Amino acid sequence: MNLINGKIVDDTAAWQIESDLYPRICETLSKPKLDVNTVISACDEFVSGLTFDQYAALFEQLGITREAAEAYILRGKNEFGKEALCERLSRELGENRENIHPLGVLLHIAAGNADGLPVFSVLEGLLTGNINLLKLPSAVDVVTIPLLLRLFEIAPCLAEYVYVFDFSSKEITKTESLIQYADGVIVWGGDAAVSAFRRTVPPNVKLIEWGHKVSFAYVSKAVQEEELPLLAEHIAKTDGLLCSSCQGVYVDTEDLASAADFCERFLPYLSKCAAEKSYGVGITAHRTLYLENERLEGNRIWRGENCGITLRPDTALDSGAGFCCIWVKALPKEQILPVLKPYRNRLQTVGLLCPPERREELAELLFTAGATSVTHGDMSQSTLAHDGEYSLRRYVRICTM
Amino acid sequence: MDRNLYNLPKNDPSFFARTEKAVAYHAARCEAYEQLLERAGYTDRTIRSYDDLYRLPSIPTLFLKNHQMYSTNPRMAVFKATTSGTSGKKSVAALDLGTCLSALKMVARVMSYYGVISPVPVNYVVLGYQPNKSNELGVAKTAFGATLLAPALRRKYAIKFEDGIYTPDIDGTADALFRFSRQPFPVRIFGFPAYLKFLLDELHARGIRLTLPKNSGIYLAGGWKQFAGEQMSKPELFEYARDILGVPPQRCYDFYGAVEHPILYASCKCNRFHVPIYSRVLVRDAATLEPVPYGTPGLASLISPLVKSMPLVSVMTDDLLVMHEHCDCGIPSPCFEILGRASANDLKTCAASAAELLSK
Repeated sequence: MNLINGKIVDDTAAWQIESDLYPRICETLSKPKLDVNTVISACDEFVSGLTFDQYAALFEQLGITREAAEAYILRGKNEFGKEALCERLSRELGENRENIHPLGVLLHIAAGNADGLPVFSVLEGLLTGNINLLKLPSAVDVVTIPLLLRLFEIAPCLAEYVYVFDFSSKEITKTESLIQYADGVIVWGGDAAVSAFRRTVPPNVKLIEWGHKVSFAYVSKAVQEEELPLLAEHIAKTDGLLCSSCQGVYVDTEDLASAADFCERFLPYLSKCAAEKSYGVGITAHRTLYLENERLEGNRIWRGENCGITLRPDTALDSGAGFCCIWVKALPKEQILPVLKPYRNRLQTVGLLCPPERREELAELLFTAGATSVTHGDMSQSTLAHDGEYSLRRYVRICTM
Repeated sequence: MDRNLYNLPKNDPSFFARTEKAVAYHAARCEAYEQLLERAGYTDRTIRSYDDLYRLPSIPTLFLKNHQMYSTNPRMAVFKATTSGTSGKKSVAALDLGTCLSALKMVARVMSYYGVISPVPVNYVVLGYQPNKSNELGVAKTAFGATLLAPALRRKYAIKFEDGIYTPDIDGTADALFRFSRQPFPVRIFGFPAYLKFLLDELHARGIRLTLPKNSGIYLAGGWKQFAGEQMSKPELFEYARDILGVPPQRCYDFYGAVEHPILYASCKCNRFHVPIYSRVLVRDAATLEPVPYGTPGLASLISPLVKSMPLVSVMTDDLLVMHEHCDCGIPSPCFEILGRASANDLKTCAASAAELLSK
């Protein structure tokens, strides 16, 4: 489905409009700058009226439980309510924004790994006053268009700032065609996607990359027991799918025996959270194959209900198998920098579980190694900046007169 | 009629003995395999029953992608094929001459059971990759091999190789079918189910309906991969093919096989894959890998002593399947249906990368 000027149109109509997009864009741009307060009020009204029942069918389609859905809604309210948005704008763009102008037209190439990400990206574009061309992710996306339609219901004037196109990533010519209208191209995705755009985007178009990142936990042997449940909850809640999802745990130790002790300690917590989830046979089989492979590789494994922990002898920062399967490795503090530094620009969140008196020192070391956010056990808590940068700043220009 | 091909009870004792011998053979020649068996705690290596087959460690394809395991010098291989894993890791199978000959014999026997081998010359439409020297994809080789089963007049490939790159050629394929339909020779269409559906859609959109010559047939292999949304059941797809191409469903076949397990399974008229005497398929619980009764879905160990160059005696693929003890078609051996993949999303494999080309 494509969405143009607040209306759903078929592919033929969408690409007919696309072939003659300049006059439309210029017309929109020639109007007075999009008032940021309009966007903020629309977002605020949107999230404050948000209830589970309103989108119950949609959540069911996505396989999201009521509890998880309510957590999402609460998070939406916290992040897109008036207060939060005003605070974010001041933080990222400053109080005096007279000299700040939108880039103009943003092309969003959204990824399919997080539901709602395309809408999130477009909202950031609107907050900075840009026109937004959105290429939907190839995966089936049932969220974006209903949410945007609701937003336009609240603030019809926003509709002309959003164009949603639905086509396969492999249709390179269509992507190239959209790039010709863009002042900035925002790419969410893996290395392959980012590299492809580095080759395609001409030098006079700003390329804004939000590439895939890896997150993990760093745990000291003296970690307090009460820190563990939050980490387990995070692992179960995100299934390893997000950039901020914990893929594995490094234990601050030199010997594998201590790392094995951690596996032993952590398993009951992970098992408890994982047992509450219901996975289909496909994911269960995926996890089983992964653990069987680890067993045949000769690695020690701990199995729990719907989950598994493998103890690996190396220190590489791998992605885990997801779905409550994590690795545990030994990484003494002295090794943090040499081991993690090569993953430059790949690290994101580190869940740091350690005694308070060591927190500052270890966090500093992790930042030096490349992490952009250090949290406690709940690694999915929102951060001040996305991947270490204030994203809104990248969607604007500073102009002087 | 080849009465013994699907008579497993009669073949069981010999199969157990050959499997036991194969395990010992590979363990003695391939150190990595011996280590794997030891790590898995496989000490009692006698095989006298199905319970013993269940005990034999089954190697996940993920393991094969990380370890190259050979029991003979891989340079002696006469046939190399890789799975088209676009996730970066490729699974390589290198088969020696003896294995290839056994495999060919097996393929010939299964194919002739279904009347696929024929002396009558035919026109081929391959809904897949045109082979070239640098293409080691298992699918390209199998697709070409398939066109040797009856003398070929013409071969039309839906993905053609030109100037060093592969490009889909649906127009050309539709034209070729139109031409072939006016000749007196049967047409054989080989390929992925998703491709067949796209071809039928294309013909349908152009208002073209053909009646392919008598004895024409459709031979499919592989899943739908990321086209799960487009998926039709096999009976629906075959009915659609009858409607557009005039090929009756009883002449539409589906095949199953894997690079890591080069045994050919052909679908019966009930659209199930029967296990021939060359292999055994054991289904395991998706969570515990314990044996499950007929009718319960799970992961499968594909067992065969056929391959001599690599220790592929028992492998576990990413497919989820369900086994049935009996089938209405009359073929006596147990049979299975493929239900999907052991994955949250569609894993990208052969059909997926072909599909990506198509949507370019």
